[in-house]
Amino acid sequence: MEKFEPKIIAFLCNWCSYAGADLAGVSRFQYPPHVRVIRVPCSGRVNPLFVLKALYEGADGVLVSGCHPGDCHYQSGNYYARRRLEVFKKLLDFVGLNPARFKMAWISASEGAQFAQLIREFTAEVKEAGPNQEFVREKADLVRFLNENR
Amino acid sequence: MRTDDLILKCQEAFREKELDLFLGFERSSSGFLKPAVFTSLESLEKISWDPSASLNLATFIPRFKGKKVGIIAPGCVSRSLVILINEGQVSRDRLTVVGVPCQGLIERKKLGDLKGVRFLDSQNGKFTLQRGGQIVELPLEDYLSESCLDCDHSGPVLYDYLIEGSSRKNPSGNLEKRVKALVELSPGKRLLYFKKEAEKCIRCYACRQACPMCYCESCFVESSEPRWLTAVPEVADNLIWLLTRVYHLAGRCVQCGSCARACPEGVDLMSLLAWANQSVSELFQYQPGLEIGEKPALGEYRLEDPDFFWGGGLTEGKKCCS
Ligand code: SF4
Ligand code: SF4
Ligand code: SF4
Repeated sequence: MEKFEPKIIAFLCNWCSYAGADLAGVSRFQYPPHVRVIRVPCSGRVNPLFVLKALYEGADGVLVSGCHPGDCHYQSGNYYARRRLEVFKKLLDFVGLNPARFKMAWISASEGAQFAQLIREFTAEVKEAGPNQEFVREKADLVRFLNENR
Repeated sequence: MRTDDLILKCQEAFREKELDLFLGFERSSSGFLKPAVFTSLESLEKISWDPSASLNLATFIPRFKGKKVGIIAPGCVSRSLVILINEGQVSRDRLTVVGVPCQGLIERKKLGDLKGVRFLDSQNGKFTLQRGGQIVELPLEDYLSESCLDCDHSGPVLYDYLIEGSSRKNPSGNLEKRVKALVELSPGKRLLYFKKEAEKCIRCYACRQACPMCYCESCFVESSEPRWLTAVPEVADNLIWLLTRVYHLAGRCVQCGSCARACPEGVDLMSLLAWANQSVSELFQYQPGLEIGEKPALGEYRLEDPDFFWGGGLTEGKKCCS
């Protein structure tokens, strides 16, 4: 089998996690290159539909990261995100999506090393989970998946 | 509960509260109750309520903004009304609720082919149908919709007038058991189960139309910028539809079963909804629609909410800007 190089989409908040990723870069911390970052104003801005849409368009893993509780630039956005994304994650788990595909994290602007660590861990987990066959839209794949598992 | 009492009580409410309109049910040509809007005292003589009704009437409330509306409500409908009040969709003083007892509603899909079937009457745990010229009497319990079998709030929680009568007791717990059985399956098996459910869905949106909590003027499925999913009822698209709708109802769904009864394909909506509610109640100790003045569970937060984020837990000394 060809080596599997996962596609990972990361929604990072502008004020903490994006800056944390930036710090990881300027500090020259090594981490796997599979992550595509999408900058959002706040983790509270992340509509769970972003996550579904990413999976549907073929992402193998999705990360949402924001400021630690107590650090939100907008005071409370991350507290709302925490409630909503936790419920959403429980739903994804319930319908049988591999739990490794969706991760939520807190990364502050000073946590460059932690960001690199998080990406290393997450990439390994997504690699382990393999290519996303659960949610992608290609009909042929789905029909095959259903037939194989009937 | 006698129909005469219902009529008199609704008329009394209509008169005393000077209502603009009244939401209830009336007999359709097949004998099953259909939703109706009553606009006068005389028209209210046709109002009726029995297990042949299906829709949650609170679904119509957001359409009549600014009007003084009366409504008949069993437990689940009254809970939807509490949520609509809490979410600012209707003000309490424009709403007049006539609480009614409820024995549960019939799931018409359990009756098979409905061609030529007439609903006649329901009494003492039984109901009668006319089918191909014959009159058949059936036990209500065997034909109730799943959410009604499971109902643990059959009496109204909010009302201005109350019709006395006995409501269904002893929830079956079946739904809870099914959710539990699903949780015990492997993720792969669960995925297969829900993909098969999603495969049935024809994306008619009848579930949304029948749901009092789906009052959005523009629903995400109709958004073209961004376009979240195609209109084609394929499995991946359907999964996004089902999951997102259920997520939008987490902690808001009163498990009235109106959506499941409306679904022509019998998609298992209730186990998803029950799971979503169960998650919200376990994480945040929250029951939808029991208290006026409460905020929606996902529209508020507590500092000490459970934290499952990587690097999480309440942090000290991790301030990014100090
Ligand atoms: S989702 Fe279904 S069961 Fe829940 S409130 Fe809406 S119609 Fe009722
Ligand atoms: S599915 Fe969601 S967006 Fe659509 S009407 Fe229901 S609550 Fe609104
Ligand atoms: S009513 Fe049933 S078939 Fe129609 S959109 Fe809803 S789940 Fe799908």
